[in-house]
Amino acid sequence: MFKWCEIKAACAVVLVLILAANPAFAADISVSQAWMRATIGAGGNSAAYMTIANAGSAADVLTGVTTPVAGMADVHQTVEDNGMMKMEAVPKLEIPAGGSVSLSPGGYHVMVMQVGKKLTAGDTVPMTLTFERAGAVDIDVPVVPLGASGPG
Amino acid sequence: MSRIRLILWALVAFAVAAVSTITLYRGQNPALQVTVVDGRIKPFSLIGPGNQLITNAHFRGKWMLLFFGYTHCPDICPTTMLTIASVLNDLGDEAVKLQPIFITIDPERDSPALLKDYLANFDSRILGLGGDEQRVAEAAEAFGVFYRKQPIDNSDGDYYMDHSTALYLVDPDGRLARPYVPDVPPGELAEKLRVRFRTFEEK
Ligand SMILES: [Cu+2]
Repeated sequence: MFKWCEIKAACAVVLVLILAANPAFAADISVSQAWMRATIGAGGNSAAYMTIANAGSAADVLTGVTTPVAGMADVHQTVEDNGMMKMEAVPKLEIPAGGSVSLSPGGYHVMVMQVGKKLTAGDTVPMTLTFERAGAVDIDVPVVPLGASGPG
Repeated sequence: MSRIRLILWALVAFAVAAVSTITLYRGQNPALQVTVVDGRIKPFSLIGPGNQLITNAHFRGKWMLLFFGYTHCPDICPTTMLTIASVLNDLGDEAVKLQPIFITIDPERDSPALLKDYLANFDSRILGLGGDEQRVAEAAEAFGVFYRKQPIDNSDGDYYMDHSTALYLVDPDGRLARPYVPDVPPGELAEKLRVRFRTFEEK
């Protein structure tokens, strides 16, 4: 017969083994401070900003974003090119182990294009971020006024 | 004799290399090259929110702070408009001396009426100007502003605009005071403007 404390120890060992074998749980990725601006009409563009943290012991990579409100969504970076500012697609955004990446104005953003209907302050936009290790992470992004500078 | 010739040609080669390097360098920085005629900015003539013709002469006696952008711009343009809105607030009573102007570089989608609605989200004191391709191209050229259409893959004709994002300050006499990079903290920009206002008034 096993003693109760032995069962607990065995369970703990199994848990540690599972963790070691599969270091990136969806729970390792957390998204905070998400926000996006309202659009001026149907068919407009918006950018979503957020902080993505990775509590895991291995780096993870954001490979895609989808949202039912828009025709297209991609991770972009605003960069300077010969005195012009332009946006470039970032197909792979690495979130370092134990670190975080912030998507903020003038840097990284989730570009949300061809938004079917006008987004108004107070709306919430569901978004699914796909990571190489953590898989799909669902978030809700609050819409703030076009003239706002943060999540409010 | 041949040695002198060698040295001479070496000097010529050096000069050619130097000049072409300078020219190339200039070519890579097309922005911020504002055309100046008799010390003043080149005239522009655009269409205002009530479909009226508005030229630079309209703003004589006022400071102009100009920015070129487009309403479908999701990141840089709203951020810069927020900066301008906050500069207007920081300026308080002195804000009446300044006319902030947003000139669209996407006249295909930005009608003067749409510009007005868009800018009201930041501060209705910002004036939106547009017009046809030709008028916009002339105004942009006068300020050395570069822009180009960037088609989006698999989007059925949708596009972004790549564009210069400096802010241009023009004094009440129509002289370019200076371009600013857009990421100046608003508080700092308001203070810089106050100093410029004062220097100009004491002149
Ligand atoms: Cu973008």
